[in-house]
Amino acid sequence: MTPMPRYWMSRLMLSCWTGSTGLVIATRPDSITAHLLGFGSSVIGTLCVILLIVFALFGVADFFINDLLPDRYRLAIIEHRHWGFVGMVAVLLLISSAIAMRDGVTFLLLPYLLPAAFAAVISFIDIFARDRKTATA
Amino acid sequence: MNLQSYIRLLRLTQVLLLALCMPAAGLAATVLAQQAHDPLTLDAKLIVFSILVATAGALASVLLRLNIMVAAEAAKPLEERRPLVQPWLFIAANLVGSYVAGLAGFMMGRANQWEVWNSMFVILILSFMGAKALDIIGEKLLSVDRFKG
Repeated sequence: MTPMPRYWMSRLMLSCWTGSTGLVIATRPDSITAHLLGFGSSVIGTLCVILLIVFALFGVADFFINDLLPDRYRLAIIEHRHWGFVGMVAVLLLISSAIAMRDGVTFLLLPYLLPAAFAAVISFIDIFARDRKTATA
Repeated sequence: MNLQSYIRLLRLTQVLLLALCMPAAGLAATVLAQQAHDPLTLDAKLIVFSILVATAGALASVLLRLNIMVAAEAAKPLEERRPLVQPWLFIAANLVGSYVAGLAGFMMGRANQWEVWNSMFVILILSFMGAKALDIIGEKLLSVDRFKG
């Protein structure tokens, strides 16, 4: 099974997308989303945002070390990275549900539901596209 | 990626798309109900997002299963590798287990009037556990050899 070419770009884009969303919530506590999620006041809400940033950082680190640097540099998470994307799906859906319950079904849900759908597809593809022997992009 | 792998991936994507039909239909119903000022909008939203969160629990369990199956094939020499045997069987079992356990979590949340975070978190955990439980039961009871084809 050969690796899927240009597949790294999807992972990088998704990690940057979700990471920036999490950072906006964490660094702007006066934002609408931070208020809706109860960032800083709700334990699960704060945990979800922190986890979102952590998963995104793992995704970016995986890209830089496993895809960009020479082969002698290797991050061991490469064989388990689909869990990072599954975690993203779970956290993004939890955040979406909290927003939907407090603010209704609005376009504010799109920045969370769309990456959740992409992350679900990428986690699926990663299982099949990743070569377990060579473990490259 | 060879042709067989592509066919396998396409079949799995079909199953995944079918599984996403129910949440998508629920979401469409919610939007329509909201436009019609339906007084039960809150419950409809809760149901739709509970289904979505339960699907995430099922996804985790399905990937756990597929990872084991694919890793077992990848460990073999190239000429001995075979396509996965009826992976939809395990995917269906995982989805059913996840939705049943998610329903139990949903009912617990409604009965105790839990806050949205707690309710969704319990549904996520229960749906993963339910999917995994039915996956294990399926593995014990069903022999995939009977479904070869």
